[in-house]
Amino acid sequence: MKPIYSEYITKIEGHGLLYFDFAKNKANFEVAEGERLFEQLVLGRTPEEIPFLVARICGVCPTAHHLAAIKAMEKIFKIEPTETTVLLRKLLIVAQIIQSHNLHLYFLVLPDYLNLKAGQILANSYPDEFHIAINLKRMADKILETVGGRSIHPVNPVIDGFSKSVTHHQLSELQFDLENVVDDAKYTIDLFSKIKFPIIKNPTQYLALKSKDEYEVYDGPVTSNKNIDFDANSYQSEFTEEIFKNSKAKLAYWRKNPVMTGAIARLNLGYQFLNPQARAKLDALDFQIGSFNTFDNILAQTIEILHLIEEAIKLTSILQKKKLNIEPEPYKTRESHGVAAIEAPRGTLYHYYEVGANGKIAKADIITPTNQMLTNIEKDVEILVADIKKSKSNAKPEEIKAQIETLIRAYDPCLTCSAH
Amino acid sequence: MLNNIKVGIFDLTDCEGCELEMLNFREKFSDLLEKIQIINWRLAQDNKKWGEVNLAVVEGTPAWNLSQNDDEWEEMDFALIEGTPIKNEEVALLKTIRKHAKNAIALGTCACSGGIPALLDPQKRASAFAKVYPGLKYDSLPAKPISDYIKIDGVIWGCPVNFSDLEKLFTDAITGKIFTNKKYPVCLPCRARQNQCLLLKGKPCLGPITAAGCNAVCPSHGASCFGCLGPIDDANFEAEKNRLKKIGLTDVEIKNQFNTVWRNI
Repeated sequence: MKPIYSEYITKIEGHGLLYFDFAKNKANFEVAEGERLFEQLVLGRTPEEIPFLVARICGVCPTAHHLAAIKAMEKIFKIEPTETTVLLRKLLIVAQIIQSHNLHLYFLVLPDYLNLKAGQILANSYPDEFHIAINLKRMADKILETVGGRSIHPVNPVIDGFSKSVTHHQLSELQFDLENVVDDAKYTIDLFSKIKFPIIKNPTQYLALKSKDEYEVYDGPVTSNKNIDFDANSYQSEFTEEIFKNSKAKLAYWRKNPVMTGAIARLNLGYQFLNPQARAKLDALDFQIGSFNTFDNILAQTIEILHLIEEAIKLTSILQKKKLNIEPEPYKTRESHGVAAIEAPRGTLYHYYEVGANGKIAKADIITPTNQMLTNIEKDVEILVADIKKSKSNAKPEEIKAQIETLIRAYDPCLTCSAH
Repeated sequence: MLNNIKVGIFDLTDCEGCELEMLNFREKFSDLLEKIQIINWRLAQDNKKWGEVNLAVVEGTPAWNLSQNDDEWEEMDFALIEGTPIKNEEVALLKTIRKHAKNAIALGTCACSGGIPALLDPQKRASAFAKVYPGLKYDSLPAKPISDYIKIDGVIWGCPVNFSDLEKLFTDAITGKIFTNKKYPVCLPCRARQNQCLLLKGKPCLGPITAAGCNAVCPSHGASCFGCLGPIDDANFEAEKNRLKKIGLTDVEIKNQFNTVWRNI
């Protein structure tokens, strides 16, 4: 049978193709990104250069890659950054997640439900929504610029600290600005909760970082909805990687099972640690924890934006009372290896490096969240297609294809990351 | 003043950070869209061709054949092309874009020089590929400037590109001009920001031979300049190399400093 062939899927990060054989109702999703070979191109470079280089894996989550590399180097050289440094990094990760979610929600997802015609973008058709999106973007960018040095591809965070210190005044300004976007975050939840998303159910394995007392984004063991926790250091034995259909992306199965990461996984595993306003909003929503509906990832992202804005207010407020001691101390390189895990917008990101006796990078290994969530995508698509056919036996291929695309978008996959 | 300038924004293999810089138009977007019509932007809008009913049935042929179907393309005044071809199909796409664009602009350092993806020695690329993808056939290309494949009409350097340059690109376009790189080096904004000179402190920096435009963001944070904004016209590479040697860099380190973003200088 002749497959329906589509061009690159629009409004996702990176290049993906969707084939749809509508006689068999079989969809085939492919990653069409060229290989990036970052694990090879960093070899022989100095540890200090790595964060700068690996940030270029992704223009949507560069700060996550940058910080993951820094954390791995600190493990290798047994460096303990100051509490202030860690708090500032958390602030950066928070801003990174807000920035990425905001891009996904308003610019990639929302147009599907506003019936924006081809060629239109939010700015000229929906100025109100665009205005809220821009407010949130400006906020996230401002944190990334003030603390990270630049909103895309940071320059300020270095091993054991920051090159340049933020000032208490800047932190107080950030806190003031953050308080002004709380309402925009609430509006975002209200807006997206009005959309009627399809309901599909695909029980899967959620993975995210965990802590005893907070909604973790920076460190910790990895936890799952299967009551199994593992140390990030052992990630190479926890995951098996295989090449995804001759593409340049790999799938990372956890204990041979598919995995879902990102907002929906974090929220399912850590909703009890949400900040009060986000928690209140969640409770008021018809949001089912453990729904295993990937479309809920969209709402989970809106909840996370509010939670993370509250978190950023907390962080900026605490930091204003701290001594801003972020000066990196000199350290000795040594031959060793180290793992870091961090919550990127789309889920847990693992970076592993080996430093040789010559002080240069001898080995690198990276698993991105999209490598993990790609394991889940095809089953979901099958379930969705079967559901559509069940409720509407004469559904047109165009209709089915459009629905599949919205499902793939709900994942918020980062295909450039997946082909790192 | 020109109106209704048709623009396409395309990404080849890359991080997509440069096209995201477009979003920094923020409120100015509506002003921009009064003059500029974005007719093709995969990341931000649905593709006209595949809007609602225009699904083609093709037997086992790659999508590229469709994207190269000339009837489907709308002529553009400007094509902004980000990234660099890694897959052979991307070269074909690049050529099709060229065919339908009055002006082809390389958007960002990857498109201009191959950028950081081109760090990998092309000779070693096949063996590097085999290590990452054991068993998979190597049939792709090393990262190279897009000007190796098509004639280009302009470059806009940056990793990522800077919003001010993007803004200038469009204002230039409206007045019928093509954006050109700054004629002065990173040192000017760097001094204006009252930074202490990294080279004088004995740290490597390519600022003196790199075009300005980034507001010296790296040196302002004590980080070394790798030349993301491209070499300035008439750059004195030898003097820079001697300077780096004088502050104690080995030949390999000098090569690394020069070739992180640039090639063969």
